[in-house]
Order: sequence, then structure tokens, then C-alpha cells
Amino acid sequence: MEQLSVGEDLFATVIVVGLTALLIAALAHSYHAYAERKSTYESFDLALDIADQLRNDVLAKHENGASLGLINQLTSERELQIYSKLLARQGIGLRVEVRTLDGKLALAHGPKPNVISQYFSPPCSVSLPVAIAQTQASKPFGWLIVTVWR
Amino acid sequence: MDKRGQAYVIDMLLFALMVALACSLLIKASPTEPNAIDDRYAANLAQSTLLAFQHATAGELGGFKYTPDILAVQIPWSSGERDLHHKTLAQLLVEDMFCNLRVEVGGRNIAPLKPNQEFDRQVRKFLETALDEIVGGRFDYRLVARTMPIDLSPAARVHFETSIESFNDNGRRQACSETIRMCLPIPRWELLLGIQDIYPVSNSRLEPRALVEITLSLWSK
Repeated sequence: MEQLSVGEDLFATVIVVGLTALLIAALAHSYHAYAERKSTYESFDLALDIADQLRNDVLAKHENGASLGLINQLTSERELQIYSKLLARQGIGLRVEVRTLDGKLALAHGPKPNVISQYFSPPCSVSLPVAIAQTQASKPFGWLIVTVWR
Repeated sequence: MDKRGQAYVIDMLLFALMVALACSLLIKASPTEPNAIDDRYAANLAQSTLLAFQHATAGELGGFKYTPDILAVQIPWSSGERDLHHKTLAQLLVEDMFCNLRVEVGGRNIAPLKPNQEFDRQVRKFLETALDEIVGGRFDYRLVARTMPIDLSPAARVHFETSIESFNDNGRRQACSETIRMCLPIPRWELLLGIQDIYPVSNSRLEPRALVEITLSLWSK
């Protein structure tokens, strides 16, 4: 068995180990960037699905049946609590806000964003336009803002 | 460096090349098509906007008033102003259609006897403001509203089409196009009366349901 000569061969070994470490770090960084991008897409997709469900079903229940796109402020809180619990069982956190076009908060449910910022995956938000049933005569435009995280 | 040391370095360079290739593949690889996620959001936004148009009332967007110019005569003791703040945006659009129906005979448009162009102009302006506020910041848009043509005779038909847009389409990729259909919410006799002023038609020839189609298309900015 040949012996490792201290000097040239050791130098080559150091280069090899250093280069390997560097390349593994580069590969890990690339994978991390890819996984983060994938997670963002998945979160956005999930937020869109949830916003869709809230707009068409959970928040759209009225005395005379469901009205797609028309948010019922009065019955929404109880419905949201049930829906949030269902999502929480799957490890999904949810915050829902309904704001009028001039920014007034019409409905809010779930923890505030500054509380959730420390979770593993960054929160993802989606906003969709809706009509808010405030009274029989007054149904202003508003934004349904859904924030989800895992 | 002896031969074995050189071999190590050459092996490592090959290894580095392969890792660099893997890295570049990972960096370029996208979990989903970026356009697909944009298009999905655009479709949801367009759908939501059309749904909200069916419920949101004009009063909440500053109100909507207009003076009918049906007779083209001003009556001094009557303001004649109609306040439509209680109507939804979709109802305003449908009313605009009814007031400005066009009769086509043998492929040629007949000018309606009761043109209500002022109402048409104001509705379009009102809807444009609403669309600018809701989708205008993120997307360019085109809203097209049309009635399904109602055949009055083999040669004559009634129809309406209007469009509100924020840009000129220069071959850009369209993100989505969503459509809702609704019945013209006016009694059959009223529709008949409106059409008979322009073109003689019997009750039996008129379609029982007149459909209105509203399409919202979005383009990424």
C-alpha cells in the first residue's frame, strides 16, 4: 500500500475536501431556494382554495340560502370558527379579514399577522373582491383578505 | 503534486461540473408553471368581480343618477332625474342594454327610436370607475356585455353589445376570461313593447327568455 506523502498529496486532499464542502453547500442552497419557491406556490394555491370556499360557501350563507360573493357579516363569525377548527386539524392556520374599499374593517377572524410571523412557513395572503351585506339596502364592495400558514 | 494528486483534482473538477449542473437545474426548475398560478388568481379575481357586480349597490360607489333623454324634450317643471342608487352594477348594465337594444334587419342596424345614449355613457363611465378601483391596479381588463340575439323574423333580430376596456390589446397573453349569464330581468310584455316601437313583432315570435352574457377578461400588466 502506497503511503500518503505529506505535502503534495495532503494539499490535493485539502482541495478535494474544501471543494466538496463548497459544492454540497451550493447544492443545499439551490435545493432550499427550490423548496421555498415550491412552498410559496403551494401556500398561494391553498390560500386561493380557501378564499374560494369562504366566498362561495362559508361566508355566503344567508337566511334565504347562499348568495355567492355576498358576505353575510352577521352569521359569519360562528361559521368561521367551525371552518378554522377544521383547518387547524390539518395544521393550517387562518386569518380572515373583510374590508370595505375605503379600508374599514368589516369582519376579522383569527390571530393577527405579527403573532403568526414566527411560524415555519411564511404566511401567504390572497385578496378577492366581494360585496358585503351590511343592511338590506346597503351592500358595498369590499375585499376578502385570506392569510394562511402552516 | 504527484499523479495521484492530479487524479484527485481532475475527479473533483468533474464532480464539481456535475454538481454545478444539478444546481442550475434546481435553480431553473419551477414547481409549477409561474403563468399557471397567475392565471388561476386572475380567474378567481374576475369571477369574484362579476359575482360582486351582481350584489354591490351603486349607492355605495357614490350613487348613480341620470336624466332620461328618451323624448329628447326637457320638461321644465319636472327634473325627470332617476336615482338608481339601489340598483346593483349588473342591474345597471342590464338596464342599459334594455334601453339601447338594437334592431338588425337584413344585416343592417336600424337606429332605435328611443336612443338613450346619455344613460349608456353614464353607465359605462360608472362601471369603468368601479373596474379601475377593483382590478385596474393589477390587471388590464375588458368587460363585454351582450344579449343573445332574439330572432324576430328570419331577417330581423334584436341584440345589444357594449364593451368597457382599459387598454388596446396588442397581442398580449390573456390571463383569463370569465363569463356569467343572467336573464334580462324585465317582464316579457315590457320587452315586447320596447321592441314594437322599433319593429312590428307579434307576441308569439318573441323568445320566452332573453339572456344576457357578461364577460370579464384580464391581462397581466
